[in-house]
Amino acid sequence: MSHDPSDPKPSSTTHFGYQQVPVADKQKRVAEVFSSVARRYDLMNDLMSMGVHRLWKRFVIDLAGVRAGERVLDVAGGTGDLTREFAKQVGPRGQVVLSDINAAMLGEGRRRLIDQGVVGLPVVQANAEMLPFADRSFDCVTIGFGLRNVTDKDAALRSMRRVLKPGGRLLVLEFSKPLNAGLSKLYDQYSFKLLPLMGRFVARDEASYRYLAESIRMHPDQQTLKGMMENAGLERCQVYNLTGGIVAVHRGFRLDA
Amino acid sequence: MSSAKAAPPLVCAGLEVALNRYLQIEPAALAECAAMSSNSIALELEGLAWQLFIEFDARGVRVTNESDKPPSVSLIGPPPAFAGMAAKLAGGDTALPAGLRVEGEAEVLQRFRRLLGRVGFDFEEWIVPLLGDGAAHRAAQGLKALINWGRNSSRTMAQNTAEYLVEETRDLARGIDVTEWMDEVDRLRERADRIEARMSRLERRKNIESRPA
Repeated sequence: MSHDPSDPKPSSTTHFGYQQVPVADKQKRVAEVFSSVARRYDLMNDLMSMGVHRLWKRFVIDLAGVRAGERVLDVAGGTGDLTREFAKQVGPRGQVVLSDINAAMLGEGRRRLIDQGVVGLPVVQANAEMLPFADRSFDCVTIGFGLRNVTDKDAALRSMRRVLKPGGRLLVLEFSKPLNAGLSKLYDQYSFKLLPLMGRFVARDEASYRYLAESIRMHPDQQTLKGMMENAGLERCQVYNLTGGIVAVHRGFRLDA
Repeated sequence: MSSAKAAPPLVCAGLEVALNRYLQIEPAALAECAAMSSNSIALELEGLAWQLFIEFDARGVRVTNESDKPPSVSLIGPPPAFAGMAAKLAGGDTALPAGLRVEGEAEVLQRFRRLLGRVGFDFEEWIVPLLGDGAAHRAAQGLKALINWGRNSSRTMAQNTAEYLVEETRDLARGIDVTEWMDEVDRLRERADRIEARMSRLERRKNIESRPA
């Protein structure tokens, strides 16, 4: 089994942003962050990424290549951006399941989907490390900006692979490491100066947005995450860097029968 | 050994999305892709030195820039030759354009080309969900008329240009003049051949007569 190498003491503590916290506490702390930001999450996403997060999600949707009649699981689906598009693609013969560990985010997601006319799809509060679904039950699993908040990423990757049908694909959309040193410096300034300010004035929660910036830095880089996916049993893993590596999409397949 | 390096992942992603959208038009094409799941095709773009791999499954194709198994067949050539192949395939022509080299099982490549060539693109069917039946039919008819007008216009323009260069400026020869000239050349060549044969015969006779008895 592999561990996130950015985590120096995987057995007893784990990182919560730049802090080391007991493993058992991380889930609760992450839940507090997302409960706090849920209502203004989309507005903040638009502000933080200057709208580019819509393009990143569009890329994931195109790359997933979901077909009519397929079953799709959107893990850590939050406010349901990916779910909504997948629901259109699978049509009435298919099914999309929106899942998130956080009840506040899930509630916000369900409310928004209903507002947009997407009704009748299952909404499941679930931990990505222990997904409550049968083995080999989904054609496609996605996790968008969620993996970095998971305490045991290896367990989550194994769990997501387990629920994939043979031939199915997992797509991980997550912040990553900029490829260019200049861009990296600029991005640091933005993340640690501007982002918490926006959090203070828009979401009235500076600390949560500081955590978001820190958690991005503690997340495994592109090649490390690719290795973690391969260790979880995924094959043909490929990394797609977007916006100079600020965000990366990882895709892997479950090919064994 | 190939000096090609892995193609950028975003290029692979773009090609994969485009191919899968195209294949999705024809459900039978996906069954054919499933049947080809044990095969793969390597594309090597000379000049850019990019290599990418097309693998098949029941969902269509998967395009990656690395593969842990050797491809069934490699298609090698410069980017314009690949662009030419794509343009031909879009028009239903499955012939391999000049400039592309095939290494390995050509039959796999041929199957894939036939598969792509067989996928028909029905514009009207594609826009019905967006516009509704009536509007889609009118839009499709309008597009067909526009394409026909473009095709006729370009044909007429080509004819008019050729006529101008032949009849007005005399920069180009008329077809009939070229045929007559080529016939003349053929006749001249035949006469030269006959003279050459006669000369040879005369020389042989002269040699025989000049030999001492």
